[in-house]
Amino acid sequence: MCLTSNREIYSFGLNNNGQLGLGDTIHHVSTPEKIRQFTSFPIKTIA
Amino acid sequence: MTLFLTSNSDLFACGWDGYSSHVSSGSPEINNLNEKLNIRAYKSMKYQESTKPFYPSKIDTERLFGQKFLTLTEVYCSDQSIIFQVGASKLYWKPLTASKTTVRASQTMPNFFSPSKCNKNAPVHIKQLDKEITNVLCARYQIFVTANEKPETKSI
Repeated sequence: MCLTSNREIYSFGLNNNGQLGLGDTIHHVSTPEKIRQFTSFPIKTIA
Repeated sequence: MTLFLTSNSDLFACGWDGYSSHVSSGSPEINNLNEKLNIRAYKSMKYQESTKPFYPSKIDTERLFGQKFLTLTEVYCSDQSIIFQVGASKLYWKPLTASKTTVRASQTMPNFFSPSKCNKNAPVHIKQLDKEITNVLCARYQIFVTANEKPETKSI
């Protein structure tokens, strides 16, 4: 998971339990996808 | 599990929370767990799979901690535990796997935890580390903390 300097979050990798936050449980995501839910919330930390 | 902390101290979470390997099946254990972690989206996960419920859900931190913190400054997590940093110098620990972590933590850090404390749902305040926290690394069963001693306050 990546947090950019613009506070955008991109996630990729294993997603069997929905841990990528993309809204589904597609088993894995090979291309980074933006989590659009947080466009109005500035995220400062991902853990 | 993935945690997201906003600059307003709002906490969101998604994924598997570590208590059960059957999160996406909507088993009774999960419903029980949902109450503990207060991640509401998990409650009806079984019935919402087709409508994509796996977006990060906001956690009611006031309910989780039993008190309101205005300054949840950092979160750290491994597959076994979550560390919450409140303000500059307070750390709270919450195990993610029910019994094994509890036992192991109480054995390896007896000054910090007792089994009875660990079994509570609310995160445990690590009072011994009430210092100015500079960095935290949360690995599987280990927590590494670097901290400064609190500067002395002098009255003029």
